[in-house]
Parts: sequence; C-alpha cells; structure tokens
Amino acid sequence: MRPFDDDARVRACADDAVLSGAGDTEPALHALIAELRATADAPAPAPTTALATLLRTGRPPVPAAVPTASRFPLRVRARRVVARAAALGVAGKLALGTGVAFASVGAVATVEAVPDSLQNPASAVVVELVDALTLGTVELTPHGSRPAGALLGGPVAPGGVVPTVPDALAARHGSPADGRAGSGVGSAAGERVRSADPSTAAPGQRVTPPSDRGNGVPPLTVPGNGLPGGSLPAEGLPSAVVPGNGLPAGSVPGKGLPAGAVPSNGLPSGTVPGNGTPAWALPGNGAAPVTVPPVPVAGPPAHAPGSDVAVPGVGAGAGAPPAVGADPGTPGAGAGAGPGGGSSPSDAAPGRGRGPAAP
Amino acid sequence: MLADFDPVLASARRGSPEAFQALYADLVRPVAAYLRGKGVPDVEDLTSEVFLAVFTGLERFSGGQAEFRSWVFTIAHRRVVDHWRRASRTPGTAEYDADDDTRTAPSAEDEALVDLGSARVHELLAGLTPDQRDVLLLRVVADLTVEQAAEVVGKPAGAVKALQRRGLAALRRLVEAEGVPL
Repeated sequence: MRPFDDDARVRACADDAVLSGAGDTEPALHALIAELRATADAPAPAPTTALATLLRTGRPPVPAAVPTASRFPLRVRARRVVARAAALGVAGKLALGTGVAFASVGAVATVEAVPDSLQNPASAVVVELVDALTLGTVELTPHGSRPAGALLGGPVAPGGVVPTVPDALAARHGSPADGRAGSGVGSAAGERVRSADPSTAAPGQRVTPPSDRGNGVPPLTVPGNGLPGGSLPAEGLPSAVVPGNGLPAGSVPGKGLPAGAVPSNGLPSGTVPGNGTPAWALPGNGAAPVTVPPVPVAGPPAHAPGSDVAVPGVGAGAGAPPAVGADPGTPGAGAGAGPGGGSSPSDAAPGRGRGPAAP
Repeated sequence: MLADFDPVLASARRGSPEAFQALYADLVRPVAAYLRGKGVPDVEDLTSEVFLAVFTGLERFSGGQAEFRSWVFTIAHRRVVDHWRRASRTPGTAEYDADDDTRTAPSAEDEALVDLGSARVHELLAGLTPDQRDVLLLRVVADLTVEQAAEVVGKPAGAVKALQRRGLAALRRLVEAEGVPL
C-alpha cells in the first residue's frame, strides 16, 4: 500500500465519523451535521391534489409495457406517418406511397412539383390519403364521409365526394364507358384532369388548352382558392384531390383499397377502372374530359363537365390508368383507360402512372 | 425504513393506496429536506411531483429498499435539475406587494430565541459548491451510501468521496470562521 492510499483511507474514515456523528474531535462540525440530519425530521409538506388523490384511491395495477403507437390516436399516428413521409425526398415519398398501397412497385414516376399554394391546403387530404393507404380505415374527414358509389359511378357534383374504393370499383365495372373522366391514375403527381372545355372552366379549375393537350404541358390553374380546381368541396379539398407529394394516384380516401384487385402494373385495386381509362380520359362518349365545378358533392357520382382535378403521383408501379368516369377529384380512381379519345395518354403526367391509351 | 418493504412494494405495484401511503410516509420528509437543502423555492409542489413520478413509474423499478431509496432520490435530483433549468430560462417576476412582505426586523429577544439550526445549516450549505452540497445532502439527509449517492448524481464513487471530503472541509472552515455555536 502506498502512503497516500493509507492517508486517503484515514481521511475517508474521518469523514465517515463526522457524517455519522461518531467521535468528538470536531464538536462544531458534528453539531452542524446533526442539525442537517434533523431537517429530515421536519414536518412533511402537504401533497398536491393529484398526489392526494393517488394516495387516497391508488391506481390500477401496473400493466405490461404498452407499445408507444397504441397510446396515440389513429389520426395522431397518421399525422406522424405523414410527417415522416413529408421528410422524405421525392423518390422516397413516391416509394413510400406506392409501397404501401400497391402490391408491386414499378418505376418511380416523375412528380410534378406541386405549387406551394397547394401544399398546405392539401395537407389535410394528405393525411386522409395516407390513412387510407396505410391503415385502410379512414373515412373522409373532416369533409365527412362520402357516400359510396359517388366516386366513379354517376356524375360528381362539385366538391368531389369520393366514395369508397370498393363502391367505386363496383361503379366502375358497372359502367366502364359511362363517360366519366378518370381520376388520374397513371398520371404523375400533380397531373390534372383536363377540362372538357377550358373556356368554360370555373375559377379554381385547372384547364388545359386543347392545343396543349397531349404534349405533357401541365394544365393552367384558374385562380381560385389555390386548391386544385374544379373539384373541390366547399369545405376544402375533395377527397380525391391529392397534391403531388408522392401519394399514389390510386390512393382513394374512404375505406381503403379493396383487396385482390391490384392490376399488374402495381396500382391498387379500385383505382384503375377495368377499361383502363386514364384519369384525364374522356368520357366514353368521346366528349371532352369531365370537369366538375367546385361545389361540394353529396350525391351519387355524376361527373359534371369541366371538372379538373389534381391527381396524386401514382408513384412506382402506377401504370394503370384511372377508372373511366372516376370522380375528377379521385386520385387514380380509374382502372384503366376508358373509351373516348379527347385526351391522349400523353396528357398524363410524365413518367409512370400512365394507363393504356384510350381506344 | 420500512420493515416489510418487499410486500409493500408489491402491493404498491398493484395500485394499493395503503402501500402508496406507506412508501410516501417513509420518504416524504427526507425528500422534502433534500429539496429544501437544494434551495428549491416551492418544496411542496416539487415533492409531490417526485412522488407522483415514483408511483406512476413503479413498473420501471426493480430492487430492494436501498435501491428504492436511491431511485426516489434520483428522481428528486433530476426534478431539481429540471427545475433550475426552467427557472434559468424563464425567471419569475412578481410585483412587490408590501402586504405580502412578511419580513420584519428581529428584536434582540427574537435573535436569541430564533432556532438557528436549520436556517443556519442552509446558510452554511450555501457556501458550498452545488456538487458538494448535493453529496452532503444525499449522504446526511437521504442517508445514502457513497455508492448510492454516486448513482444519484451520476458520478464515480471516488468523485463522490472527494466531493464529500471537500464539502466537509469547507463547512469546517465556515464554522470556524463564524465561530457561531450551533
């Protein structure tokens, strides 16, 4: 043992003696330590209300460790998913969206940049769509639930009420050539359904001059409320209007995607009409693309002319065209190119997500 | 110290209010004394915070009574650290109200009668460094061993011994300098 080891030990013993009150070599210090120790005998402070309640009533038995995710409501988790997705790069967002919603993932579509004016207002819709993609349980809120069948079946009243996908599928398959514009499945993010008649486009509608159709020129946006034009519900974005943030075109809010109907191109079922009409496709009667005036939709699907909707980027594998007659606000609601030839497949957003050419 | 700590702890884990009360009664005064020695202004609220954290976090604790004591004072120590961090960011301000000012000039008799014990101790502790004060409070008020105190403050046992020694030396000098009998 070295000398200073012994000294340290001696000092430690002396300190312990002082702290314990043993010995009387330093009475003043001993007394101070004793007074310090006596403070622990002072009356206890009064408990707060919360503690008093706990002391009086106890608490439930301690459960097993709870997974973090279950502590938070569905929408909080969905918002976190959205936040994480938003943090991804463009390619990452597309891969995330398509990877979640589609059975197979193809090449990542080129995503049109979504104007900043659209990003924020569309965020609520993004949440909804991500919910549908990831959880498959979300009805459209806060816009309210959408009546089934409103998506692809009949005319879509302004506001673009979007039915659940299964209903949309049923409507789609039941009337493959009813002349409703597709929802843009097969279009890249930000693709707009071309208005049947740009000259009659209402404010807020996006229209593509006929001369620009087919050449990939993005539609013009009629100044309105900054939201994708033509198919916006009065209370906000239509359920099917998804900003081009990488969500797949087929991401139809509502009850999620039906199972077992994923087309070979990787698009989710229910988003591609059986006849493969692109979202921008003309109605079956060859008329111009459907344009929906910006009025909320509450009834059965009935596409009004002039609607123009933004469709989300279909992301990887989104090659299937939208359903014919899909609600203009429905992203990727179609299942394939429909009849009618007002728009050419080249109207679709560049890159992936383009459905078969209209016959 | 509780004679039957293990059954009490098991009962507390089941949510028994009686078990909570037993644990609370055993440790509330040392915890409050520790917080008071640290100079926390609102000892009541902070003490309750500590025990709310203890009773709601029982599933995270495992060990005997000595470990439980260390764990409680660890929570108390961290609450104090958090408190001072919050206080440093948002210093509280209050308007002066003469009616609320209870300070009075003590008479000679008051000075003779006033119990200088706890007040004096705290004044002397204020002459120590925060780490020295921490260690002495944990060793004396909380009645923890050097190793337990080291766990609470997050320092090695050797560092705690050194802090203890220097703290006692500082107190010794202060007592000798003042020459005030306690």
